[in-house]
Amino acid sequence: MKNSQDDKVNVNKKRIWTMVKILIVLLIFSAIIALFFNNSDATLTGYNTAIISVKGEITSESGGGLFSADTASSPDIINTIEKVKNDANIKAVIFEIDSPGGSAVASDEIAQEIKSLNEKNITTVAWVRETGASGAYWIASSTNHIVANRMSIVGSIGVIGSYLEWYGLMNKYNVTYQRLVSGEYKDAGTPYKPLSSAEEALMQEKLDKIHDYFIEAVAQNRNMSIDSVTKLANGEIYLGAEGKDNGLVDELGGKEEAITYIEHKLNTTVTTKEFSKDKTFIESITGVMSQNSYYVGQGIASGLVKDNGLKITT
Amino acid sequence: MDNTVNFWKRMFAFIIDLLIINIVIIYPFRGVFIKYFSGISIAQSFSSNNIIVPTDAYWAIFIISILALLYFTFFDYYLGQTPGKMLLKIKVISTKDKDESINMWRALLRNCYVLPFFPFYIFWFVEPIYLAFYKERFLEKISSTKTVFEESDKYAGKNYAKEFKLDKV
Repeated sequence: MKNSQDDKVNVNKKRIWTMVKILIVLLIFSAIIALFFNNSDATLTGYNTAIISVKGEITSESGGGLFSADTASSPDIINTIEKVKNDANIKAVIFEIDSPGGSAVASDEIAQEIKSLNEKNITTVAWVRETGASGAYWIASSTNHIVANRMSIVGSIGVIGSYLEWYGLMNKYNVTYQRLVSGEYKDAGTPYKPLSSAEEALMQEKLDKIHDYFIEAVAQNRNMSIDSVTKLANGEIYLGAEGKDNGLVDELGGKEEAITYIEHKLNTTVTTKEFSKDKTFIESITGVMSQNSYYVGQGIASGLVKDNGLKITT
Repeated sequence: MDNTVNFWKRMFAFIIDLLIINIVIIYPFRGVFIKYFSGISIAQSFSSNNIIVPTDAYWAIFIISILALLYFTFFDYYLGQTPGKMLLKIKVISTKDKDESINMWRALLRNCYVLPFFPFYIFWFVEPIYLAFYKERFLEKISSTKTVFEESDKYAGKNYAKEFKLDKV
């Protein structure tokens, strides 16, 4: 009887000791790994150039989670630029651009934010990869220096607002559009009725205005005359080599050339660090794909732009 | 004696374990949380799109969850019970193995709900509902494990302690 009680005590002691050992091991692992995180800033000093990606279609909606399509979200990119502005280590920023364009508003927002970097004497360089066209070129033009591969696509300085008109198809199946509006042009651009000539003229006027803004921005950013940019701004895409000839691109090359430019300008060795959008708490925990709305061309007015109707993009 | 452990006992054991995890695993990371989350309430931290989590903090959360998983797994494997279960006098057994002690894979499987990313967080919703209806967790069912009273007739006195050596981890 006494032996079995002694055995029980010994077993309990052994169990408690096992428990303590496991807790100690976990505590040591946590402490060591946490030490690495607490010192993580120290391991990341020594950089002086940020690299910010502008990839995918440019949108003014915040980006999504792990499984969402790649878009260049202006709130996210502006947030990243703000981070860079607050980092005293950063003397230059390379914008790695691979985008066909997108929202005029979003493109302008990002371009303005890049100019605020220039105002703080932070050198900015656009490094165009496959495509830096339309709104993406608007963004690139706001940097101090544009580097593109000879085969990169640049330019496409124009505005598009084309859409599919469903009126004919609806008519075929006896589906009618009941027009109830106050304000003659309230539903201009809806795909459910034909575009009248007056409406078309109105739309075209707005497109032309946005086009003028685009031209003005590029002319100002690139130090070119309005006339010379207007000649290039027929929506045509240019290869990087052509862009070099017509003034839209400063240098042919890639990342190395971008870095060399910065090193010459700042007379220092460049050490880069990638900056990107931080995940929100929910994105970090769940990694759930969030909805991305692709808003384009909000320059006219949200009231004229329906979900399935007229969309204006640069 | 019915060896089915009620919900509240399991819940309290879990809360005790969470408190221990807070001290042993999360506390060393307090520097990361102070740095990135100071001034933010817990409610705020769960509101989507408002609070930005820097990459470092994201990795810290990930590693904490892995360590928490190891906590539950090691205790279930080596002792058949976590400290919380020990205090509440309940333990985990295997319903498939002859000696009823659970192997490492069963221990890992029954505790994988701890991981806060897809697809594991799905169990945060599945487990309480399943437990409410079937008096066992869904992961317990698929891992062929069971939570029982230490002193129930069938399991009284059975010692499931395995030796914990670092070279066997």
